[in-house]
Amino acid sequence: MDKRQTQLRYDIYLSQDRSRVERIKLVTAAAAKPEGQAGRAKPSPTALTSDEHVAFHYEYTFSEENAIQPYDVPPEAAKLLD
Amino acid sequence: MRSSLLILGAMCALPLSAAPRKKPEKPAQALKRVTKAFAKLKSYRADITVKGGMAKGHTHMITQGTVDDAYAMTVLGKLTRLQGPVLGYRLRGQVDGAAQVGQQWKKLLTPKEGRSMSRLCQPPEALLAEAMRLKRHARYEDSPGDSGGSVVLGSVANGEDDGTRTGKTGGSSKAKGEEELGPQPRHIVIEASGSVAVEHFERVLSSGCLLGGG
Repeated sequence: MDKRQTQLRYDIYLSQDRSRVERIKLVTAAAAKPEGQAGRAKPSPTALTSDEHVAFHYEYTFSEENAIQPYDVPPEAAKLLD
Repeated sequence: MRSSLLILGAMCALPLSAAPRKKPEKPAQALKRVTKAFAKLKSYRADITVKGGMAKGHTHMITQGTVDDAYAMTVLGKLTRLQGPVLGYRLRGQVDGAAQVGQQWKKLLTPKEGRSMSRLCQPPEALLAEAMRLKRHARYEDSPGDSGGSVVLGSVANGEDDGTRTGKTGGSSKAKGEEELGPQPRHIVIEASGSVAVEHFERVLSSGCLLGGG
């Protein structure tokens, strides 16, 4: 992964009445390092488009705001939360 | 007499027609407002999907996936429950916690599945805080499905929010908002490069899920 060439994009979707965040999409991309040229190769202008690169897509969809019913945490798990 | 009345009428009408229109909310303002509202939530559920690996094209379509996971995050007060390949709990804003492996409970970051889940499921508050730091890059983008929807600015944008999703909107404010401004965009885009994106990759690398690491 070539950390010199990275991109990040947030898409934040609001609810119909614009009062809440309904969904967050996050895409991160980084150029792939050419094999055997660790960090020395000149960055390619197509590194994050037509060239193969590394990417991660995250999507968060929100619901049940202020409507989650209380739940119990097992005692063994609670001990590990400190 | 008639012409002077016309001039007087025109003079009176001019300030009215030149009255400043209510300005639409800027994307950075909208982001700040919804981030504040989110922080006030006492509980919520987030369904999270993460897909990653080698990609191609400007949309970064995954061609060789190393991660394709789905998680459910349930936040109640200070507690977060994570459901994925394993069941886990952590305190809000913390990375480590507890994971159930078989019949045993272990530190969340100890088993591989727990480590991936905790690193990949970043708290939404952290994502919104990061988006806020980048808010100068915020812009609106047309949101599919906006055309048929009614959008309110007036009372929601400026009013107090009790942190509950009721779906109710003030009728008069809605009419006023739409008359004055038209439908407001609901899709905020922020693009950045450099250290912020690198931080995300560091987190992914530490999860051990990239390139088969553990």
